Amino acid sequence: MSSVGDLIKRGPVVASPADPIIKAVKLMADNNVGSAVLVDGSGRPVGIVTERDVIRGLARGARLEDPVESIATMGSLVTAGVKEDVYSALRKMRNRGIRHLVVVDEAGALRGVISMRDLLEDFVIKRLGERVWWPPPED
Amino acid sequence: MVAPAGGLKAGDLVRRPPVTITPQATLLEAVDKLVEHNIGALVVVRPEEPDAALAVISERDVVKALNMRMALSSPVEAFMSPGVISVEASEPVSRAAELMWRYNIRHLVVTKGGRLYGVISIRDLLRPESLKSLCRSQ
Repeated sequence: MSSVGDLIKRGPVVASPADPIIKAVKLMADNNVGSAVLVDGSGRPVGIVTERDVIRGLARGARLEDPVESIATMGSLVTAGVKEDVYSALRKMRNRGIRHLVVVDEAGALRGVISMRDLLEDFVIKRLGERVWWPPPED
Repeated sequence: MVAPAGGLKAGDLVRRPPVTITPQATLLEAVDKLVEHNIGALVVVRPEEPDAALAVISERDVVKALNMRMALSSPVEAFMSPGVISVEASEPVSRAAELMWRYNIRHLVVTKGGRLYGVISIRDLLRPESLKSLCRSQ
């Protein structure tokens, strides 16, 4: 077990880009997660909003009634495939300075989100550690 | 970073002094401080005892306060997570990882001789140097 799909614990927490920021806040708080995926009418992921986005938005004077897309990262989502190795996922997070990756299946459909916290699990740390000691050739 | 013999210690991962806030500061001041320093958590201390950590307020605490419709003028003490999960600077990074995992937290207070020394995050534990120490300890 060392692929991204193994780390998904739950269905994705989703909102619409036009929803108010407070809805995303409620979703994150109620589900005890740090992000919500923004999806279009057909359920395709089009953006992501994180706790940090909310806090940055507030500092800029955003109101909780504003559309969540005004503070979210829209488009050019950084994704991981369900079969992708966890080390590759960690590298993506590190290179982009992000804590969450949207996970999609082979057809590009949304499967969930993984966060840095998910990488702390024992079997993942073991795999990541192996990869750091013996990195794959592309490193 | 060169891993010392026996692997990295929690204190080796601390890269700057802790960013602190007082219990009487407001939610908005906490938000501004998180953004200004581009960090995910602040350590709450009393002005008269700046190296004794009372609590940590994280981005999640702020989001939960917003969800409860707390005013931005509410004091930090009204929504901070009480108590502090901490690790001594001399303890191995594996101990830090274990605490973060067990308590489901993203930030850990690091103390030196029981006094506030810094904060480490999950990101710090997932740096290559840390992973080498973590992997070796398993």
